[in-house]
Amino acid sequence: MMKSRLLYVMPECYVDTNLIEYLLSAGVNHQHCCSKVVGQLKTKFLDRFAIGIIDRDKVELGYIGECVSLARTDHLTLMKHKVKEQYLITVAPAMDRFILDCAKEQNIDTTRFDIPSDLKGFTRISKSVNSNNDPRFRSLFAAINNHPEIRILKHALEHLCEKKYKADTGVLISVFSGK
Amino acid sequence: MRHLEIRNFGPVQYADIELGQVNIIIGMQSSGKSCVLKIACHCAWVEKRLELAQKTNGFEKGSAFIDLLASYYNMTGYIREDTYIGYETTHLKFHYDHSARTFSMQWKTSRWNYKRPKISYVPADRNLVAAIPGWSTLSLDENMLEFMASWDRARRFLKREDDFLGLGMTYLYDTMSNMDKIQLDNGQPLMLKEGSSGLQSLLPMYVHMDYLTEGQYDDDDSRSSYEQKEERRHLLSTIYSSLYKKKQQIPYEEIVSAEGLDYGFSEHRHAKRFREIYGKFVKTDHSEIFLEEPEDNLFPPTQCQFVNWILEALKKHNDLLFIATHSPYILNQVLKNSPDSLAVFFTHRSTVDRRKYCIRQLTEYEVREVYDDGVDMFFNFELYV
Repeated sequence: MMKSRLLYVMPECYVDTNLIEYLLSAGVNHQHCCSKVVGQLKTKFLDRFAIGIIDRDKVELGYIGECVSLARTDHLTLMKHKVKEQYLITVAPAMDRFILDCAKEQNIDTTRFDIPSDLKGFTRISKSVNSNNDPRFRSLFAAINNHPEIRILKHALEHLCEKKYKADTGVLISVFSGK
Repeated sequence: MRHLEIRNFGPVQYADIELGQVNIIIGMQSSGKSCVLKIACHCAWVEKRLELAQKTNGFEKGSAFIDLLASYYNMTGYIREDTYIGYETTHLKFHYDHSARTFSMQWKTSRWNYKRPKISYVPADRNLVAAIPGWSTLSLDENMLEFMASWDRARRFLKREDDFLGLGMTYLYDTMSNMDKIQLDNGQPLMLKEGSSGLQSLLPMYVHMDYLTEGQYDDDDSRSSYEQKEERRHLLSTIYSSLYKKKQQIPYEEIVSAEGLDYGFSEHRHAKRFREIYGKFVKTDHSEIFLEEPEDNLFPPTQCQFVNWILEALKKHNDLLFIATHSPYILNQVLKNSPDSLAVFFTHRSTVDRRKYCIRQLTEYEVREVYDDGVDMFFNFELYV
């Protein structure tokens, strides 16, 4: 059956897409780099509700200067555009490190899923074209989905997707504080 | 209306598509895009042969239908025991079933509304004509040879084009030396074979397409072979006997003379319609262009300029265009121009056999959504499987 599509949710990379699709149980609008995510926010979604999910380790994008930071965890920062109903979630230093850190903190050995536990090996697989559908990653996500930051990401995205223009900043801050 | 069904040919396990006036197919390398393009082109050509000959014309003999396709495009290894190809337009329908080696066809009620197209397959390796001066002596696939012959005709007709695609360059064909030349925007002359890879890809495509969409209608070529004359006589007598013979009463009000024979009509309107039908069969009405990877070696803004130009050029004679591309610029520019009758296809892995591919056609709603929401189909096609 065809996936439901949440095209206003735009992650920037293959493994990011896989994780976000896993968390939302829906297809999302994969863009192939962070500047593409921001480009779509500024053009196609100009005045519409949208969520961008990008790594923080890249060049600081001008769009970030148009946003205010609402909440943060060790790896995640939730930002909202000052004027528009657009949200940006940045992952520091990058999605690969974030997933590996979550696995480590949950005492999950990624090699159980045939995924290298070192960053270089992990990135080699996560950057491949097939990683947005790779079932090995799906299995890993299922194993780490109780990690607090994964849950925060999931709940924040669920709230945003459900409420869209009526998303409640207070609720989002509360989600990020782990409540 | 033009419907194409393919089963089990090369990497294509299944395709069931409805072509529009402008068609575009994307997908991974070796996933069957060119197969679909070549089969669509072959079917259009078979339809033309059937219409002009008004008989099955040898296609009914065993595997002749698929053998011609395979030899013309050098695809013999793509045929499988269960290969099936079905094609239907408003004028006729036919199918070929390789398991039984049978070809069957049926005329439809709009049989006599057929309009003769000029059919052209433009291969990805078209830049050979620019890069290799002695190309006419090379041993190549038939489709490449035919493209080269068409290009030769087009350049002899065009001879010169100033500021093509607004690039500030002039194209010149020197009939004496049989050489293609470029004059750059700084005035410097250059042989095409010395030009950049981009120019060598662009110019043969541009000159050829310019001829197909416009030039051919001013290029007088009334020569016809004995076989063509015989075929036309047969066509005339078939139109006459199918539509008018029984209705006509002597004495005739009007006699139509064509190809050395006379046809009598008791009403002027019948004679007029007879001439119109015949005219649509013998005179090229429009082009049907099957174009592989127009983006080859081109700077992205030039790709967009080319799309804008060709979409405008198609309107003059309601030409059909079918593009296979790997370029998001080409796809987005087509979507942006949003032609009235647009069909977007993509290849995806079969769920039954992961080594094979199926072709999916986006709905009108999905095409709109892809453009409006900035969906990069090259990264997100799986959302539509």
